[in-house]
Amino acid sequence: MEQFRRFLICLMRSAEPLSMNDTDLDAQSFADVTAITSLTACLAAQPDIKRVLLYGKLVDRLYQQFGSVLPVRYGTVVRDQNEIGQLLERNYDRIVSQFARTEGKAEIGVRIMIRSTPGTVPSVSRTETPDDHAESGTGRRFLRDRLRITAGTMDRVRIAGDVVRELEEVLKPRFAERQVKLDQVSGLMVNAAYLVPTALVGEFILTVRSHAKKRPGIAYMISGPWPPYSFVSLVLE
Amino acid sequence: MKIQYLNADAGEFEAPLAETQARRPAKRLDVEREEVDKGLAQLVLTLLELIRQLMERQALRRVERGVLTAEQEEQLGLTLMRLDEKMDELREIFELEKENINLDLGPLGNLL
Repeated sequence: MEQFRRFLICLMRSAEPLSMNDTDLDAQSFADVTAITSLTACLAAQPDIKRVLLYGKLVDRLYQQFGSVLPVRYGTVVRDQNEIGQLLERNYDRIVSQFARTEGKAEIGVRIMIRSTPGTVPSVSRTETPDDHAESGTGRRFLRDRLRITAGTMDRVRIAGDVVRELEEVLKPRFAERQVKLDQVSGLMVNAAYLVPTALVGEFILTVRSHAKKRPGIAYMISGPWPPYSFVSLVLE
Repeated sequence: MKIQYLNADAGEFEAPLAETQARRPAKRLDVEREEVDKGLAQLVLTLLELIRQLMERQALRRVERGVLTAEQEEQLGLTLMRLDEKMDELREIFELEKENINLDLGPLGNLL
């Protein structure tokens, strides 16, 4: 028989105890921190796109409504209200320090696509030598092909580094923290998340737009404002 | 605003985003009984692939520096090519896609 447990969605901070009008959500407070939970069993099951999107929608809705939200890692399940109270009490200092870091800030996602199609990005690929075309065996051809692929990738990594440096030079006063990852896809994608003070979100986006105008060959995708998913590293003990 | 595209349209990001999603490796081994063999094979193949890639990078550095004779290059190239083919065969045996040969190291990104 399936155990009926609570799915912990996010934490919020408020001087007054919060109550949820939503019949599916419950709020339980310890001091000024409130945990939002749901009894919906399907949320706690194995993650798939539909369930994760549902979780994301809930967190986003609470974020839009209340402003300050710490998302809890998807799939965090607690037995009952009593356990939530203990969790909040045990982790209170860490929770408060996470709020101090993220309160009044939003996450803005910036994805930058360094296209792999020739001609869209100035290429500085390795110069071919006459030896590349000299008669060579299967082994040498294999190595030369690999060299060409590696050189192309290195070009894109270098260009991505330049673009991110240029962008951050102009964005610097407008964000508090950032996380940047490179994804090797068909092309190369820079996947960056910036923690931006809410008051500066508009300015931040305008700055990315004006930077993109100077780099017409490179594709950008800006998303947000989101709750600070990429900047919350809270594992409740 | 939720999503805005600059110098591109939504379609251009669709395929790479789907690819990124599909390539996201598991953070944990699947310990379901029927899946545990596959999970272990995935881990072992990931480590083998890491070693193969390191060897290949070392070989490419030597080729670029021009310190190898044509014969040595040929031998090295053939060895790496066979190793590459062997990895494909092993992946097929364990029914793993190329994207599955990786480990998610959390904030550090992917291993490969």
